[in-house]
Amino acid sequence: MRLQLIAAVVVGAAIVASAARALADDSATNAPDAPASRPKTVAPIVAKASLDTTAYTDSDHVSVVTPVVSAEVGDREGAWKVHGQYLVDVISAASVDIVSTASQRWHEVRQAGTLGAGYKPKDFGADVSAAISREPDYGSVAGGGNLIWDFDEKNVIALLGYSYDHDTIGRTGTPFSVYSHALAVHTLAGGITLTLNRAAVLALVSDVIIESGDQSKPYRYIPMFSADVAPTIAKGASISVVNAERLPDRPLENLPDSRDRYSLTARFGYRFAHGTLRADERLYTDTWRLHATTTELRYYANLSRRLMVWPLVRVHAQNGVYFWSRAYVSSFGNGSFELPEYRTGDRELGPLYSITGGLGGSFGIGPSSDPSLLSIRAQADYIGTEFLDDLYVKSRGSVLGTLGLDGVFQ
Amino acid sequence: MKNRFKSLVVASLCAVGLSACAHVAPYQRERLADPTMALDDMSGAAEGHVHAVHEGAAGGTVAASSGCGCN
Repeated sequence: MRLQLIAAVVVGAAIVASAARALADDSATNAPDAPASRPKTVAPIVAKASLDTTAYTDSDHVSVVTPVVSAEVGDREGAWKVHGQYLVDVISAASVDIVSTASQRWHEVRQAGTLGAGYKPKDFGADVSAAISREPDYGSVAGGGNLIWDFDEKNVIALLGYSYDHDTIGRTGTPFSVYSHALAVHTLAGGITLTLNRAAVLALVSDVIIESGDQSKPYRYIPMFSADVAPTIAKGASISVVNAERLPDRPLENLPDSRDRYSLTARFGYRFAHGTLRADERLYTDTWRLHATTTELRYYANLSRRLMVWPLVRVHAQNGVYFWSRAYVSSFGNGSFELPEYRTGDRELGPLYSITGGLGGSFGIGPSSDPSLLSIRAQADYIGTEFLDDLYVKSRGSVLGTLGLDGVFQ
Repeated sequence: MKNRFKSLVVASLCAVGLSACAHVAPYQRERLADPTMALDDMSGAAEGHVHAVHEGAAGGTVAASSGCGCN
């Protein structure tokens, strides 16, 4: 937290200093008796910094506040750059899943940092990045890189990337050395970006993600029902109904120890005279037989030199994993309960669809020569999710709001 | 037969996609150089994390951007 404050103060001071300098430059340029302006020397190095705060709340009594600070330094032509990001999630939750286990509202802090660098002097380049994330019951360390080739004067670009992520899953209040299990994630990405014409570009990216390890949540208890009761448990059945009908045994979640995930993503961009249309489509499948489609559309409209707004819509739909069940069946035999091998209460592994609608905007407050050198950014999204075959809830409404300040120093 | 049909469809899409490309010289990339044309993930850090938590799918977070063609 101390590091975060220092980083935030440094970046904030840099942005404010840039604002003051930009406004001073602006007023000097606009002064009636200003001498004829000299041609400015163009700095070879460009630095960018951003301060964001995002707030999230939903109808399931979860709220998160996320301050983010990020910075990037590189040369003007993009041959090299180094960048970093640090964020903190301050989470407060009393969701139905927590209440159903008779637990109290809990609070948690997650800290995550990323450092990266890229070097691409000509047609071939590479970038590397490392990330670390820590919360009381979950730790993650990741590293990876991408190779990028330009062909045909950058009309065709190929990308090949790999990253490794090592996660440690534990329990709050118990050291990882006493209780934890590991999850290893290998990600291989390959893609091609095609320049279609002077205003349109298309990227196709394929990801293969290999996960191995036990990723079951150590707090997630799964209610069990007898074979004759299970079919009577309705979608969205309340906590009281579930508690009245379930069997006394309530085992922990148990997920398969490996999962291979595949996605194919297409990204399209078209630049109009005063706006950009962006369209993304991701098709997804995995060895848990979860299939999904995610579509996102944004239109960045340049309403003036200072003002840009972007309405957005995102639609996601998926089926449930092969071992998904609203009401798992357990039977008593040989002196104990016979449980289904795999069982989960993770709503995001069940069938659902969600629709996001949002509106963002940025207002340049930099000098009139280039207002975008300093800008204020805001975005508000509403995410409506329908759970098609779940206990406790049928839907969830979420609101996500971001306020940010972006500065460019040159 | 089904596999041959699939292969034919994929090959046709690739052919149409590649033939749709026109050679754009570096000095013609003014529109492509706009920052909004960078084909990276449109979501911010926190926004992307929310989507990752809300959706059972993953992937598609990296792509090479075409950009200004200046390096």
